[in-house]
Amino acid sequence: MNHREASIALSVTDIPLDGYMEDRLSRIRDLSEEIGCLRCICVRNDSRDPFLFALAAEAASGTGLELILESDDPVCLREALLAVGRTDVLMVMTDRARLAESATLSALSGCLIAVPGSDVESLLESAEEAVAAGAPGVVLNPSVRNMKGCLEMCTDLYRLSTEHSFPAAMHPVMVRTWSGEYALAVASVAFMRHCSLVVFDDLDPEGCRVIDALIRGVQP
Amino acid sequence: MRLPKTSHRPSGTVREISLGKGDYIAGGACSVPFLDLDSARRRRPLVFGEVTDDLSNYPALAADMFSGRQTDPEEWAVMWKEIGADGIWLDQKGDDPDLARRIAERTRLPMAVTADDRILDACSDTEDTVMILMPRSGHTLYRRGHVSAIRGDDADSTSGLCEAADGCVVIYLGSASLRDGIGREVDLAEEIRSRALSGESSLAHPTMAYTGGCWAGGFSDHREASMWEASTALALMLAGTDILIMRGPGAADMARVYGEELADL
Repeated sequence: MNHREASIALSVTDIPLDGYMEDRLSRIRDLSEEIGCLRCICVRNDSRDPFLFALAAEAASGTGLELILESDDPVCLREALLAVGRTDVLMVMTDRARLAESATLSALSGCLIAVPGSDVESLLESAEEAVAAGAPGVVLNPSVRNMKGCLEMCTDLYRLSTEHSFPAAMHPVMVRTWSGEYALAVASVAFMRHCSLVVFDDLDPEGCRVIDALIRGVQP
Repeated sequence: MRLPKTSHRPSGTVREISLGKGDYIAGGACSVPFLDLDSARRRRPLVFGEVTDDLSNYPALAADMFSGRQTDPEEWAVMWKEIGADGIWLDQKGDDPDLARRIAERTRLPMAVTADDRILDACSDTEDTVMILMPRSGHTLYRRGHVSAIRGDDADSTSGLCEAADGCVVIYLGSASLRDGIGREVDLAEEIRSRALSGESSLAHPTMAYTGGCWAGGFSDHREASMWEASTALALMLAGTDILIMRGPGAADMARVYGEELADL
């Protein structure tokens, strides 16, 4: 996973629906050929089933895009990692209570881990915990409820990292957002405040073009 | 975990300007935009709606959104007021010396006017409303009781122009469109805000930008064009722009809502 270039990801659910996965993967792959910043695909563990998550991860891995696996269950993450057999995956652990198991999995698999936190302090504590467990790389994933929260959290993290060299803040930042125009606005705030990665549930092609233009315009 | 303090306490503030009948204020920032961490002032950027008396270069896609009222600049301005604009930008090509005054009277909103000097001279005779004067030629026109738009190529030249200013000014950043690359305008807005907060008095003036250029480029529907314009406006307000001149009513509404959320209003 490359965090030097600002990127977006679109997500797919692991719940099996008739024809969904093939269409969705094909649409994202086609879009990624046009949209430079669309470098990643994120598989959501909506089913909470390790087998279905592994199947979906395997299918998404075939797109050739950088792979993000998002779950609140380290068992599901482990099954999906085994299925794809890759070490360049970003694991997004959404349950802070099970961070220790996921961080160990990150250390064993060699995959990066995105750690959760509802505020800056808990986020940085998560990062410290993951590093202490031997995770090869950490991404900060602040819980962002709206544009305002995104602005405050991302600015605070950026200042901790650049002005104070605070060790737990010296990691790339990702923002998890939803679909549609408001999600696009949250992503705009995130990228204007030095975020590296935004994961959307979904975004239409024009929205992807807008965010791509913004990234090219404002990020170094 | 003990975290270092990350808040900033700047040494300078951006001047405030009163517009219209004195009931609209632009500027006054004492922090980077919207940041509670730095005790930002709870004030959103003003959103001005574009009105022109010459539709020959105005895109049909945008014109469709005004239900025919765009053929009469006064009616058009009233419509902007009805849909929540904070002000009107009149781009006047014709020679009616009273048009701006009539719009100001009907809407009671602040106005920015781009026109020839002769028309702006007539505007400046209006004493009961403060207008932003923007000569079409690009030079700066000072008239007592009104605000002059200053435009420099970069922050240094703008600083020089502002230092020599003879009256109340607003810094015009230019026309910005994400589609054409927005880096210059965003960088300029950020640099001006940053230098103003560092105490550079000559740059401590409100800034203004135009986003209507986003509509050029063959969109298939309003929604797409509005998305580009609203995103352009959001980027500019995050960079510190105080007044946004906008073309699309949907985009203007989105920009206003974004500004309210970010300013925590």
